[in-house]
Amino acid sequence: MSPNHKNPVAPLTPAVFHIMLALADGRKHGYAIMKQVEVNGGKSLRMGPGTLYGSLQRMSVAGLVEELEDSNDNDNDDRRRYYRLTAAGRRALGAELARLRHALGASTRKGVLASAGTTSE
Amino acid sequence: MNRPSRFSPSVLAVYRAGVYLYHAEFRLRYADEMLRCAQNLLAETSSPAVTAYFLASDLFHSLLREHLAMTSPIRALPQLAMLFILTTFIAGTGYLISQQVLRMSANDPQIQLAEDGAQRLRDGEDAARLTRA
Repeated sequence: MSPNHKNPVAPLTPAVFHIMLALADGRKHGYAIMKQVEVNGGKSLRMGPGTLYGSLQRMSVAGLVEELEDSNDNDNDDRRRYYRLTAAGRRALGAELARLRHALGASTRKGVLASAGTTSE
Repeated sequence: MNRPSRFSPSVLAVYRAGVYLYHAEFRLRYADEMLRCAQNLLAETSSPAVTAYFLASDLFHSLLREHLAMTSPIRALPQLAMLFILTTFIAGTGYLISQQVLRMSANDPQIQLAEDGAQRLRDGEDAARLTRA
């Protein structure tokens, strides 16, 4: 993971981006994040526990996510640590999504997206 | 959820041992959670061998990343200096031994020639003929 977290609007690594995307709709514990990353990114973006917790540690230090001590979730598993996006994390995710939208627009204008879609089918 | 495979406990035991290789701060904070995730993955998978490989690969890459991340050049200076001295000593010793072996065998052909000549003189061969040869 690159040390881009010092600047919250700097581009994010794929692992960090997908963790943040997984946390966008609320707090989750580690395994739930892993499953959500798999849903959002597909099998090719499967994330293991080592990558997940290494990224979470650095994101926590950078102030992009915060760890929640207490848990009031339905599964009532107090031993699990929960994570949620901070305001800075939300801003960084928004900036990354804006970058992706811009790139998507450029790709569409150049016809790259259409040809990529044709070849992948 | 699938039934846990027969070898899931063994995979988890190996994974637990692997997690122990993280530096203490990281391990104390995340080891339990990582093991829980690994346990859940193994419990839900339909192909335990593939999941075991995935866990091993992730563990290896993550270990490498975490150890590199925590090793700043300044903090590692004493260890790097020790490594430099040790490497120089081992390489120097190897060089000296090979040079010494080479030097010790450098006179062998001349000694052999002298010994052969002396033997032929003892056998009664003419000295003038020997030097011509």
